[in-house]
Amino acid sequence: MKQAMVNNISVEDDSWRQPGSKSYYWMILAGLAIMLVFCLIVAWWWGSFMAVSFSSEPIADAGNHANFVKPLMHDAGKLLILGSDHIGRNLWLQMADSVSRAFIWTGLIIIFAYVTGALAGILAGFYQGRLTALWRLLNGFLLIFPPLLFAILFLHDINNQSSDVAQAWLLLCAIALPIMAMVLRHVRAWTLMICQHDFIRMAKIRDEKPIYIIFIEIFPNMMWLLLSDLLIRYSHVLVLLVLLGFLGIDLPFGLGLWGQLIGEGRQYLSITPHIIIVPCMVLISVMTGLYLLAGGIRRYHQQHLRKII
Amino acid sequence: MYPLARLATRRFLLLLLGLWAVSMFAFWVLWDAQNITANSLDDFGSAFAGGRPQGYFVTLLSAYFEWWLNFLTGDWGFSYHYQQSVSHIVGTHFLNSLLLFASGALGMIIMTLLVGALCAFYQKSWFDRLMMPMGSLLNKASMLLILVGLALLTTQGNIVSNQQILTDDGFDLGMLALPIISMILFGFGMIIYPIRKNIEQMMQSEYVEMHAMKGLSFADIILKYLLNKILLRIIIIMLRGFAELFSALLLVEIWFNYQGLGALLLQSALVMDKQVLIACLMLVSMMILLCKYLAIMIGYCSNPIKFVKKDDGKAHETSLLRQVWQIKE
Repeated sequence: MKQAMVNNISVEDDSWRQPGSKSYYWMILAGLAIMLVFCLIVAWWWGSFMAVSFSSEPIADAGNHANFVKPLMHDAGKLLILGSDHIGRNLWLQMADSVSRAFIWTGLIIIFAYVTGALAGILAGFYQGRLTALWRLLNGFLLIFPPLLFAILFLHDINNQSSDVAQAWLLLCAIALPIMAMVLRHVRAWTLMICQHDFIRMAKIRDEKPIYIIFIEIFPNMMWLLLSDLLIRYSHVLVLLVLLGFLGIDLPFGLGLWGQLIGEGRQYLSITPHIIIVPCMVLISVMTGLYLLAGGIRRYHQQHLRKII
Repeated sequence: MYPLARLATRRFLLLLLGLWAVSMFAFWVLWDAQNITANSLDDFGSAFAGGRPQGYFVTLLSAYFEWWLNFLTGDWGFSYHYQQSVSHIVGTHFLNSLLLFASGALGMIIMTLLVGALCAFYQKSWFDRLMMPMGSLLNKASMLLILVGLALLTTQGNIVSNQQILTDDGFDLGMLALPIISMILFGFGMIIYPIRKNIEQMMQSEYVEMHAMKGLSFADIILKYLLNKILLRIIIIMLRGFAELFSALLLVEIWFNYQGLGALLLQSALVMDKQVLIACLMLVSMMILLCKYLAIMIGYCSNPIKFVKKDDGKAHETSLLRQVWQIKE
């Protein structure tokens, strides 16, 4: 045991960092995982060619446990591949609808958060001084609450807003602001690291315009890391939307449906577990794909690109 | 001690500033404007007419300061939804959450310490190769997926009613097992990887290698030389990640229908009971800010990198931890 303890004290094995080792299999696996989810949506569109029921009408005696349609069972002569939910709606249809809405809105939220956060972070890192101190103070306030709590506080009353535009802006701000704060912090740190290099000093000596230095010299060096971070945050925002629906927050534009399926399905867990298993499996599939893709991009950046950060 | 006092004072002022900002946000956003007379925005223009402040703005300010005064003296208002004083409701729910969180935290610390130490000592063994991916998986999976997984694996997938946990004779600790296990798994995923890395780095220090070569057992090295440092690191990581742990606690309370602070916060948000919501918000933000403050202070005091202190014009190195706790190395 003593010998084992002495021998086991070793440096970390970092052979995967050696040039030449293939890291693209991560991307392939990621693509396969995400494809599973997109098949769900695509199948909904060409479902007319299959003997599969895509009716959105609830079956008779909805709510009665005996009338739950389990996966791969028939209802009125048509096959329900994923079965029905607790009130008899086609689960595949519900999932495809909720997933497509969640994907679109998550994309909008992430784009808004990253554009504003990255821009603010680069400016805060490039122009250091009192402005940076102010940014850090505001950032600190936004990060006091976890994103879930922040979203609950802003969105618990969202349906009382008068117009769809107001609801959309409130949804965007409630979820995007904490993400923006985190992105700002990371991008500012990366900008400070990049600005220490000689090529930035040379650009300043050449009297290049700040906009040139920011978008031509600084931004391309953090682009891949930003993309990797964006994919991970995308999965976090997706999970946040599911959580808000699960907690009973009545989100607009049908965004709460995914979480509501999980929340309502847990009451029938011992009878028909597929109602909760299917949404969770879809969520796991998306998260796995996004994490693998982010990992593949990060490894590509570390192995093949000049390491500035 | 001067740099420590400066850091402590600066951070404490930031903590107070954060609390004030949260109170402004809570009061401005959540307070029912109809409680205040003359809530027209036009009154902003006439706020200081005639040399005397008046109107909506002033009424709001005076209500805000009155609320702060009552808050500091313990009068948090009356909840019309629950028909009780807010301090009583929040107090009982807070104690429930404290019990669940404390039990979960104790389990997290023990499990992370044991598993982290074993994985760091027996690197690349089957145990290490099993535990690290599991920790990574638990870290990436949301608390919701952990709860669903536990519910599918156990027979207690259905909602556990409040009456089963909180009986007339007190707590039924058996029913608390699943909520505590959920918290432990979430915390384990959050903490295990950085702790394993820290233990690995500690093991590479010369005095640990010397003791290992002298023939001390794995348990002796951990208990005599590394335990306090590992515990400190675990506590610092938990304090820094308190916000995430609170979100997980909220989900656990909702899933198991456990009447804790997180469940109270959500319920008050859904029924628009603003008195309770503001009180919960203030309490939660105070806890999060205090935990972050403690994490910074403990991390600064226990920093193994010695900081330089000038004395009589000469710089010499001293370790604050060694001075305060006289740790043997």
